[in-house]
Amino acid sequence: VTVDQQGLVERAGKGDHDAFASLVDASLARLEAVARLIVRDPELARDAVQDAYIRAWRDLPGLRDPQRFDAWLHRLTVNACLDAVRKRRRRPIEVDLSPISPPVIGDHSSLIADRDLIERAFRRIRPEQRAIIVLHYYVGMPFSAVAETLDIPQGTAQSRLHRAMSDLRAAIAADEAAAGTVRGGGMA
Amino acid sequence: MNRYDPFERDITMWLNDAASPRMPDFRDDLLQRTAATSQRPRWSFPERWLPMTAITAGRRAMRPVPWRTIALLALLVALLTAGALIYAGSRSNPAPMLGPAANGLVAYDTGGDLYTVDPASGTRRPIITGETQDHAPQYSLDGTRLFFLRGDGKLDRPVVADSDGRNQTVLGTEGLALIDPGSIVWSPDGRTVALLGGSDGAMRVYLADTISGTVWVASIPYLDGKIYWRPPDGRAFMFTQGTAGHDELAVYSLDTGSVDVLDTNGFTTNVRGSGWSADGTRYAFHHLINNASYTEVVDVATGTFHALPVAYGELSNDGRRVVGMEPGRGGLCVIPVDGSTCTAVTEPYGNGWGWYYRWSPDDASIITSRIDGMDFVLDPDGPPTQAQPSWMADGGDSWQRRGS
Repeated sequence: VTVDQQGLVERAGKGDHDAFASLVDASLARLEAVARLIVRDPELARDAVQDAYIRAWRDLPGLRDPQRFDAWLHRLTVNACLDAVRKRRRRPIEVDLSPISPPVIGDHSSLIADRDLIERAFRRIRPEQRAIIVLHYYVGMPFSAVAETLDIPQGTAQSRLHRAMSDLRAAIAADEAAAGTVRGGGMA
Repeated sequence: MNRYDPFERDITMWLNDAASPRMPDFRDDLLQRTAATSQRPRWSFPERWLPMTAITAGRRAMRPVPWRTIALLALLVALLTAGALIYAGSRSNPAPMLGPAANGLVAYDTGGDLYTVDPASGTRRPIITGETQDHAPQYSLDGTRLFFLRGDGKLDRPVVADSDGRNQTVLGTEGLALIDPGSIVWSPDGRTVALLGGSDGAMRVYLADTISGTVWVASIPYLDGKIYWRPPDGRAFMFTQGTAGHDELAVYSLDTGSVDVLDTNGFTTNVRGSGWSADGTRYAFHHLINNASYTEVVDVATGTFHALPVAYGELSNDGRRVVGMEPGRGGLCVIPVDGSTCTAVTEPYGNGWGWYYRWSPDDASIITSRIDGMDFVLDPDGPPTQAQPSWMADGGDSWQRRGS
């Protein structure tokens, strides 16, 4: 948190909406991307981010330590994302329908195929697992900040991230195994 | 973080590729909304006066007693109570626990309250309102009771009530984390409700006993998929266990605690339950082989398998048809359990993501939710349509079964 940002937080907490708008401009693009990664649905992400900022504006006078603004805003966003997924009751049925033509094999396509694998696997793990992965690997938060953001002990943050990554690996491995049957074991 | 782990590096790269930050188009709209929102007064945050650990009650702003609002609310409650009594007196007989039933009301949640809507008349009624945050209503199979979740923003408490919202009983002794509302399913005997959730990355099967009021975790290696209670008594349920790619379809007995593996003809990839016939003589499951999805219907007595070319099928109440996703097309289709041709009931949508579907009690309709949050009613006989009746505008969580 810079001195400038701290000042903006303090002013916004006293009702200065222009200061709040500056805080929004500095963080909205990043948090919207975070929300898209967690909920995997642009409309849900939009709702969640707006909900988080409205809560932030409403409750900003209660934030005692302006230096914790970033962690607090991330927490509001993550909670809004998880709420959005939970309350909208739209648990996507994650179907790996076969493409009409089998996957293309070749060096040129391998990167795209890998990204598709990660994309599908990332959808398979649970939203709260996506959240902790996003905070650590996308936002770049250290464990201490992840723990503060999620309001959990640091050790718990580490173990949850470890579990989330294990599940992600397992989901990718399962997808690769399924694809390997089509490719005649030609992946090796 | 060990940046030298290739997998972690790949994940970081993919995350950055998948979601490049960009200023969203709702920035101005958002600021208009916040400008129109009042900030809470600084003194209303209790943590400014007391350490948070000393605060056990929820945050409440101190305001003058709103006598006029209270009087209006009291009048409203009296009217609602009178309406509820009239409605309770007009209720029909309980539905049979298994097989097709008549269509009743549809329950849904909005704004932390529970409502019903009568699809025939479009009449809406609040059944549970107030300060509690209630959601995810699910009728029992005989239609006489309602299970729902009461949240506090982090945890959910399971609650059971009469179908009109009276006689509420909170189940268990503690809140449950991250419950999947779409997973809630009543046992056929009307005693137990299964639901999926868990906060530490491992999904658990919670079992809520609506008679004793206890909630416990099934001691099973649950992997994924929905829970399907085995007819006729509902003292056992089907689930998927194992590790990803080496799935097993299994049945857990509540009475003995034992787990028996069901025959899946050697299929082990993406094995997920699809349901039981009402008489318990057949079960169905999904699997993936050679990158193609099938729903298999298994005759328990003969052990014969019938492969239907449809993904993630759901058996109808009469056990004669399956609705599922048409591989390669991505839309929903309906196929007889002994058939081979699937009749499309929707236009294609994406590549198969986001559908959530179940049969109406009378099997004459299919209710589906699209990933964008829109609910639709489909005609299982086709042709492809996506109709959203006005009564479904606020959602259709649970369709009550009624006796004829």
